[in-house]
Amino acid sequence: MEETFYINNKKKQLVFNGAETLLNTLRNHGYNEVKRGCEEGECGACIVLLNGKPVNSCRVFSAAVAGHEITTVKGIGDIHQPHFIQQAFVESGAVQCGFCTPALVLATHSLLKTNPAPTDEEINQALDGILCRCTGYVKIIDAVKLASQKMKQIAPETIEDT
Amino acid sequence: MGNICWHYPEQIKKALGLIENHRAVPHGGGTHLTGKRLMNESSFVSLDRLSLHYVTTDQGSISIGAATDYNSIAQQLKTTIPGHILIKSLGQAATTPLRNRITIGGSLALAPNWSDLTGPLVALEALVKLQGTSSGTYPVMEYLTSKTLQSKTLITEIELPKSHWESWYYREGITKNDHPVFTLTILAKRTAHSVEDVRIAITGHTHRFMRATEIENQLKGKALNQIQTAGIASKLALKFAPAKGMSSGYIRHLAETYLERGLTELLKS
Repeated sequence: MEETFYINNKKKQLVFNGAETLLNTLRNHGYNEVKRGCEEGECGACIVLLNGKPVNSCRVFSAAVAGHEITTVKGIGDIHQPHFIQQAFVESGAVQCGFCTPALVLATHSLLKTNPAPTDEEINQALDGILCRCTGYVKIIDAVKLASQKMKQIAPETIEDT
Repeated sequence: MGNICWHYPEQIKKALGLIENHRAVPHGGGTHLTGKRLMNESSFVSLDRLSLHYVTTDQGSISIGAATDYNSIAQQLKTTIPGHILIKSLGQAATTPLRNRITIGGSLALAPNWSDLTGPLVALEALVKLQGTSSGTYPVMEYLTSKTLQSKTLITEIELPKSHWESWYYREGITKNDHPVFTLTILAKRTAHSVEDVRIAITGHTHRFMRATEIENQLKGKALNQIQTAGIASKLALKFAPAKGMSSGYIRHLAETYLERGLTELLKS
C-alpha cells in the first residue's frame, strides 16, 4: 500500500506492507536515525514523535498513522545545525555509544515543549521507557536540565520543529 | 510477514459493517496487535477518522472517547479533576511512549489480567457505550463478563458517572514499568466522623477482577475511629497464579497487606 506521511515537515509518499511497523517503514525509506532495538516496545531506541508525542515506532502500524506528522531526530537538528537539546546532551557528557540518544533527544523535545522547567520527577517520567546501558542516566538528567536552561535564553519558538 | 488490508471509514456505521460482515479487527492505535503474529490477509478497520479521541466533562460526569490514549486522559483529568483515580492508574501504566498509544477502548476490549484500567473502571462503576449487534450503554462489569456484548460490537465511549471520590491506587510489579501482578483500587467518601461510601476493586487474581463487597459493606457507615484494618483483607480468600519469582501465597500476602495499608491511609489519615 502507498500512503502520505509528513516526516520532518516534508510530505512523503511511502510504500509499505499493511502489516509493517513504522520502524521498518521509516528505516526502509532511509531514516536510519530511527534505531532498531528490542522491537518489543521495551527499550525505546526506536522512538519517534507522532504529532509531537513520543511513541515506540516498533509498536505502531505504519498504516495506522498515515497522514500524520512524524518527527525523527534529524528533524530537529543535525551535525551542522544542532538543536540546543542535542547540544545540551553533548555538553553534559550524556552521549556514550549514542544508540539511545536520538530517542532521548526526541523525548526531551516533547517534554520541554509543554513543560519548559520540569522537575526531576517529571523528567524521569517523560524519559521512562528509554533504556541506556552506558551512562547510568545521571548525565542524561543533567542534559535535560541544561537544555531547559538553554531554552530560557532563547526565543520560545525555537522549540518548534524545523 | 503477513499482509493486512486496511479500511479507513469516516462513519461508525461503515466501521460496524466491516466488523460484522468482514470480520475486520478494529484498531484505534494501541500496541497489542503489533505484537501478534498476524494471519495472511487480516483485515483491519482504522478508527482514526471516527472522532473518538476526546475527554469531556458535563456537570461532573466524564465522557471519554474510545480511541483516547492513556496519557491524553491523564493530562486532561489533571486540569479538570485533580486527584482522579484514572490519573493515578493510567499515569503509571507501561511507559510514556506506550501510554501515548494505548487506548481506553482497546484496553477495555482486551481487558488483560494485568490491566491498570479495569480495576478503576470497575470501582467507578463506569458505563460502556457500544454500537453494533448489542448497541446500548452497559455497566462495565456487565460488559467485561458478557461474550455477547463483546462480540461484533464497537466501544465508542466510556462514561464515568458524576461523583467525587477520594482515591488510592496500587500496582504490584517486579519493576516500575512491568505489567502489574495485581492492582488495588480504593475509592472512599467520608464525613468528618464516618465512612459514607467505599468501593474496592482488585484485579490480577484468578477471577480476573472483583469488587470486595464483603469489606465494603463492613466499612460503610462505620465510625472512622472504630475502623480496624488489620486482618480485614484475609476474609477475601484471594487466589493468585504464581508469577515470576513470586509464589501464589506470597502474592496473596502482598495484596492483603497493601489493601489494608490503603484502607488505613484513605480512611484513617
